[in-house]
Amino acid sequence: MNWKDLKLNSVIFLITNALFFLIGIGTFSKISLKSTVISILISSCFSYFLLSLYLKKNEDCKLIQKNSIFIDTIKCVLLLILLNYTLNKTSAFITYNVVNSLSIYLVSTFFLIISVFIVKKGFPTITKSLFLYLLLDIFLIVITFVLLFPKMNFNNILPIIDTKYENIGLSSLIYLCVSLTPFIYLPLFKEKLSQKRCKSIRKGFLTTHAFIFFYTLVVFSILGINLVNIYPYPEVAIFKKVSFLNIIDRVESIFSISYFLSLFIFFIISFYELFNIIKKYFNIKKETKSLILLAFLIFVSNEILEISVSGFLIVLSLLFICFFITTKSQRN
Amino acid sequence: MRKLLIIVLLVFVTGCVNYVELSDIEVIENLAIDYEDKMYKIAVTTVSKDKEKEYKVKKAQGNTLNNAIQNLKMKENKKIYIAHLNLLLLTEDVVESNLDDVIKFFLNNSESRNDFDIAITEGLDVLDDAKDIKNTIKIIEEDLATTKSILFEEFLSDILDENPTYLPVVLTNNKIDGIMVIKTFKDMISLKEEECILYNFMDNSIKQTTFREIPVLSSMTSYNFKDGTLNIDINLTTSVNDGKIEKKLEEAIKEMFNKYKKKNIDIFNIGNKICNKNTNYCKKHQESLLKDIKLFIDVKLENKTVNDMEVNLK
Repeated sequence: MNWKDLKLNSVIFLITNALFFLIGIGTFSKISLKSTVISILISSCFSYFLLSLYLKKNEDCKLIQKNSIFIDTIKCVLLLILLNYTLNKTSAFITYNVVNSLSIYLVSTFFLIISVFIVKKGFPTITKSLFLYLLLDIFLIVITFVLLFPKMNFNNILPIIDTKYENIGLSSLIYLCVSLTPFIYLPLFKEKLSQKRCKSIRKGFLTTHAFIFFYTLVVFSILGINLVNIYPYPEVAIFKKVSFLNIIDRVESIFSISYFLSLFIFFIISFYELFNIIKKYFNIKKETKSLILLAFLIFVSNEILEISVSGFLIVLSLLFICFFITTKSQRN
Repeated sequence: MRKLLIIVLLVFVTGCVNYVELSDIEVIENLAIDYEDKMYKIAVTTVSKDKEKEYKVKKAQGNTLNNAIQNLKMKENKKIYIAHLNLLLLTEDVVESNLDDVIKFFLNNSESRNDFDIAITEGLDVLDDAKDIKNTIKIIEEDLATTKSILFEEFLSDILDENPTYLPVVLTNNKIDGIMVIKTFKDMISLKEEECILYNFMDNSIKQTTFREIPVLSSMTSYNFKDGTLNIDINLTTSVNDGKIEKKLEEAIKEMFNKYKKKNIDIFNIGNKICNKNTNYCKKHQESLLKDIKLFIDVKLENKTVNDMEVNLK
């Protein structure tokens, strides 16, 4: 796997993780109960099949986005809503888990300032730091798996099918949204989808979903369905159980960094995409000022809009449709 | 301008936002909650850095649990820190009428780790003479099996599952009195010593105990569900064999099960065990699961006499 492929797979991994966290294990478990694990497995297989078809169709092609004022306007609105939801959730997450005495507005402000700074540096700078984030993320997740393995109780996930098939289907559909959305950012790389690259994307996709599958398994087997449904952040609640010989203890704040990083990367890339679309139609000379203005708009919209998880899922689906309409493949 | 901005930002990223001096924190070790006259009354014992300092129970009250904690904070003029909580004691009044509030309090509190033990108590005064109740419960559980400790998360999971849950009972003068079974919030049963031992046998949580004056060195219980019958195998190790312990234990378990079955209580949580083994059977017999259960108990004895032990030692 070369450096470019690694960057591409890092984006897929981090964005999928971020989306999964934004929707939350709690949302899945409330729909499909203990069968969430199965629905993730089914959905991963189905999305892998769809991805393979898409990659096969576009092999040796370059993905290019067409210019369409109407679609791009819709995309801008959708991205703005997406950014607003992500900012809201990330700030709430940081305030609840890390700095609970700090105002949510202050957290959002800092988050936006850093995002403006990074987006201004451009896409190559964003992707350069991605690999480091990925390494840190994987390191934390692997430690979590190892330390939590003895605490897993598989009775908590039995019986594995305890809900109607419709609910499993609905849950799988939501997860399909999570698994396919990262690919709307593929045209940002402006790379040719060579045979080797397609193979590496498939590998990255499988690794990402294997991680999420095992992670869900760990959460459900440790907490059980009732606690998963009742905790505000079940994904983080399991970090509270990480303990090694009573030396490594109370490390939930450190371990929750992995989620924060994923959310941060997702926010930055979406922000960059939004800025990119705006740049196409306006002659922007002072990028910093425009980015600050855009960040201010996201901050203000945070006060006006209140989006639920279902609203967020609709936004993701619409963005995906827009991606299909505007993206064309160009064969050299 | 850029340098100035960086310097200003650096001031805010020192990681000292949540910083509180250790001397300004009350680290709560045990928390007892009572509900009387529409007021929450709390009593806490704290971790003291000065070991010679007299053991002191601090009390406060308020119309909500948050309010009571806030009043304690005002009284002590210190931040109340519950992340190190060891034991939560609830009176029967709280369990009957305000358990929801207590659960919400801990779930909404991001500092709370929910890995503390929970027990029932008769009043807030229990904290006056008990320095380490959690340890006492653990010792009695391991040596006598006449009680059973439970973590807050396990308790929560049982309550949400609508399964009966079992809490140790703490009395004044550091005495532990069996287990309180909570079927619903307003339906509590107190188990006697022998019943606690039988429950622990069925729960496979006996380390060692004395059953009808016969010392039990270890016990292993396994379940097997087939054709509507739950086969329970108990493998005991004792140091004395009176030749009757197997039968006595079998009869005692069956008697206890039938006694509570009449009251429509699945005292050994057998329904849950069957559901884990056979979901289809569980779904079919959901309404009459307790009535339809047939128990077959087989106690096997491995006798370790003094001679055996000597041989082992050699």
